[in-house]
Amino acid sequence: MLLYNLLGFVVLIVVSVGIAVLIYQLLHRDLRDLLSPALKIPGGTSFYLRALLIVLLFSALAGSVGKEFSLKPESAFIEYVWAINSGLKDVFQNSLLSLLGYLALITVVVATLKPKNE
Amino acid sequence: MSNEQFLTLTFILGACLALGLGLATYGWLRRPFLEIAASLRFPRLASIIRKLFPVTKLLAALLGFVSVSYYGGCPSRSYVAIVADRHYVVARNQEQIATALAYLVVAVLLWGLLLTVILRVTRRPAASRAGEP
Repeated sequence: MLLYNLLGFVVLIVVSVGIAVLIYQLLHRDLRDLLSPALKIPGGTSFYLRALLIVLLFSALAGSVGKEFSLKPESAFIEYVWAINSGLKDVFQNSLLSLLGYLALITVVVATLKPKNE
Repeated sequence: MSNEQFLTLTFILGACLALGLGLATYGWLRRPFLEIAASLRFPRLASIIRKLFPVTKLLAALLGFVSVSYYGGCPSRSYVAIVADRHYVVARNQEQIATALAYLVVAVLLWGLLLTVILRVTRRPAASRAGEP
């Protein structure tokens, strides 16, 4: 693998991990406040928060790890950018689908376990 | 290193990485999962899900890993063509790890759903959780 191919691959991995961590940072406080009254077990809230991090991280990594970088040495710089773009498409797609799946899960958790008088 | 050795080595490393991802997922969720299991009313059920949790994580990772075929789609490659092309071997390894990650995501989401149902059905009443008669 060419050095630039390897570099493009590493950039894609770093960006996808960054996106997953950013989404987690945006959501985790509100999610903790939402889940704590419903689950009423300290480990319960922690389980679903850790599950969110795993879901976001692994789905983003699944999109980026599967991307092939096989550009030739004479390739232009912008071709590497396009290759990263192409990888990001899978990262965003996987992140979106997994977020929707997680949202459906949390809806079921809250609807099922939240006390009726709240 | 010959191409055949490279193929074997990358296959074994990929399998180890997939197993490691399954173990890491289990390790990260283990403590809160055990706390949930301890809150259940039926000790046998808690014991069963405690044993099943790591098994399903490892199985999901391995299932993702083995579900990728080196022969490819249509037309399929011959073994000689596969061994001769290291880029192709690396690409299949990447696909194996990506699929293992995707299966782990599905496994985590399904366990979340399963735990919700189990908690709804078998959670101890509030009074007994607090130690009251």
